[in-house]
Amino acid sequence: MTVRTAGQEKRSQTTAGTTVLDVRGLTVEYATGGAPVRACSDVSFTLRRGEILGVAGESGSGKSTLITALTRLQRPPAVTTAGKILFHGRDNAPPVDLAALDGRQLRRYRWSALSIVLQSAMDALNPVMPIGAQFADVLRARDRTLDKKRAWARAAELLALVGISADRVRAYPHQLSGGMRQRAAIALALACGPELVVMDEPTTAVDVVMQRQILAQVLRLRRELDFAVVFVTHDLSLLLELADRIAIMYAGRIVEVGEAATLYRDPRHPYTQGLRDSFPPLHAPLRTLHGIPGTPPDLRNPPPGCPFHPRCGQRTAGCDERLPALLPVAAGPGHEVACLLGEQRNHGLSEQRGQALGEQRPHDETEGGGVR
Amino acid sequence: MSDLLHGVTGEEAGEEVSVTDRHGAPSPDEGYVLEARDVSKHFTVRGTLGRTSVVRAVEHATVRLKPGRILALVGESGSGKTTLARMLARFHEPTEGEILLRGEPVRGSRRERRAYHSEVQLIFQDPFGSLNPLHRVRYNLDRALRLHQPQLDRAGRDRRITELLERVSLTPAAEFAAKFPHELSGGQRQRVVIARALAVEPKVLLGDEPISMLDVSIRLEMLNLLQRLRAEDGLALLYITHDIASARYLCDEIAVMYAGQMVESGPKEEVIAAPQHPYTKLLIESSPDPERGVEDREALFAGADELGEPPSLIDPPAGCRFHPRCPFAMQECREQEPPRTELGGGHWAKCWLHTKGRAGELAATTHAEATAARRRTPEGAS
Repeated sequence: MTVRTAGQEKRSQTTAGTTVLDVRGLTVEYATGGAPVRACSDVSFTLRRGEILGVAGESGSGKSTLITALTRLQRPPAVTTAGKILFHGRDNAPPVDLAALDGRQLRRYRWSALSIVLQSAMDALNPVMPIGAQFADVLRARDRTLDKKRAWARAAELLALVGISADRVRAYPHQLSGGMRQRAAIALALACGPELVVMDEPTTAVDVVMQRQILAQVLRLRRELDFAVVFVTHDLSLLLELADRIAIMYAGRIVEVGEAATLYRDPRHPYTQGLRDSFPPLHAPLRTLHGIPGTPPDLRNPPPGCPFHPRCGQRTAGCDERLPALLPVAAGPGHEVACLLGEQRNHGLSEQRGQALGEQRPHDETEGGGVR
Repeated sequence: MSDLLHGVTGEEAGEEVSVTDRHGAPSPDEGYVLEARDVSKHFTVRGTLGRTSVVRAVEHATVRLKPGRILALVGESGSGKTTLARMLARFHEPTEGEILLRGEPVRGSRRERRAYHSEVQLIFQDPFGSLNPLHRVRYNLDRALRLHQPQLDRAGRDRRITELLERVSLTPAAEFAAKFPHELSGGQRQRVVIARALAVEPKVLLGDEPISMLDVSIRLEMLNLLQRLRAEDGLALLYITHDIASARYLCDEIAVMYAGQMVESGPKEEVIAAPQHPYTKLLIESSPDPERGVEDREALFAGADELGEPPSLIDPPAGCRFHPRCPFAMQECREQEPPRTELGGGHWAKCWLHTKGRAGELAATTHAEATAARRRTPEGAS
């Protein structure tokens, strides 16, 4: 995986070959009886071709809302009220705004450009259809010239990709183990060669050995088939091993984003730090850990200022008044954080650097990659 | 290592005089508070065409719990962890073997059952399903008190409810007592479940994945709470999980189950640092561990493509049940169940490698490497 440094990338490059998804200011609200609840506020990020972007956060942080909005699978009362989801196809065609398409237009993109793997494969697969028939359904809906026999043969090939033997193609979902069903769901998502696969906690319902197996297969398939992944989970420890970049969500906003290694070594947002320190080590010396005290805010009634401030051990004056913007961290390219502490420290840092190196790093021009 | 952790937790609790005395080395006469001796559980299932088959969910498992000690039971789903816990909680009667409470076999009359449950309590995985949603927290706790502590009057029970809620850090207690379960977060609900289990003043808590449905940020609070209960009350705790890192954080000893059988058990640091069964090794190597370094991801996941799945418990493999997935399997492994090898310090494993003098291979390689080596020379080892 080549890692491009955000500042160096040119704008033209971004829009031409390297970006597959460009989300700008996506806001999703739930229209409830009273005031609308904002489950996703002003979420922006870019996803490079073939990249694995991890999205981590607690329940209620807006992860699921974000991906149902991305894949246009949301149902009322959820409504996308603002923002664009620009999808760049392989064919170098101008980007399309998925958020603006209607159902019929979207069909062109489903499966072949964009597909999804849901958390519970048992619910995602049809219980009264053999696995192979479900693959054939999808394949033949895309390509009407494909006959049944060839479609079933292709289904067997796809299942083989995830290590399920061809004789299981006639099995019903209940005849497969949980891990096999999940792998079959992944194979199904890849059936039409998508450029982007959204995975919603695909390994939460399986145990650690199967989890590792599934992750290894996702990595291998990505190498072979070249698709980008948005991988949503609450398990940051898993993302640190799997993802190229990680976005941390809290209360419907991205609070920090950066390369996996950077986020592990040098998390800047107190929430990211807390999340990282919520996983006891497997081999390093043990010490008492405390997680993050308190509970996530009620989005019907969000706290003023930074939504994390009531739980934050490092809050200072102003945290309860001003909502921090997601700004680049001077030290790391592509590393961005939304925290007042960061803004102060960052400011100092960038000035020092600027003086020392005599360079002018364009802070407000971050189009090159990463998240705005 | 474990003493360090417990020492810190004890200090935090701030009142215990000598934490180490309680769970340092238990004196021999203290003995086990709860013991499952050589228990098996077989379930009969009806298949198609009315044919019945037997699922051997647990076979010849032994679990011993001591006051003030925490035993972690780890394994994949379907390995029999929950069935074993349910036998200990007496939701299932063992098909073979017996359950002993303070050395006495337990019997099944209604009264004895209640007496048993006033000493042994089970905490379920799902805090959303284990509280009565139609009643306030007060009622949920009050019911346990009325059943198990009939001597308390109304005022006494109210005092106890306040104590219990404070115990699990749900303060102000009066406010939480008046809430309905749906008004609480997952972590708060699981605290109420723990408070309810504590209402009967048990000696043993059985936690069946008590934190797996909770948000990551609050899991540690729950583990710290369990740690405190062990230190302050000398509770014996069985902690069932598939998360080895959390088992290491909380427990003293680890027992590993595979396909209904215990395959390895011992002090946690020894088991995790130097697993003596190929399955334990696979489990530990599969656990996420960011410290391994996120630099070379392809190498990290190399060979993890096909790790296999646990066997059917209706017709388990002959010999060692792990042999179809084991990169070290020999002829013996396919034919005979491996004997138990004592490795000193309470650490034991059931694996033929130990009897054949090949135990050193476990530390010398990883599961993925051993599997790759075996593919190059099929059947090479046997």
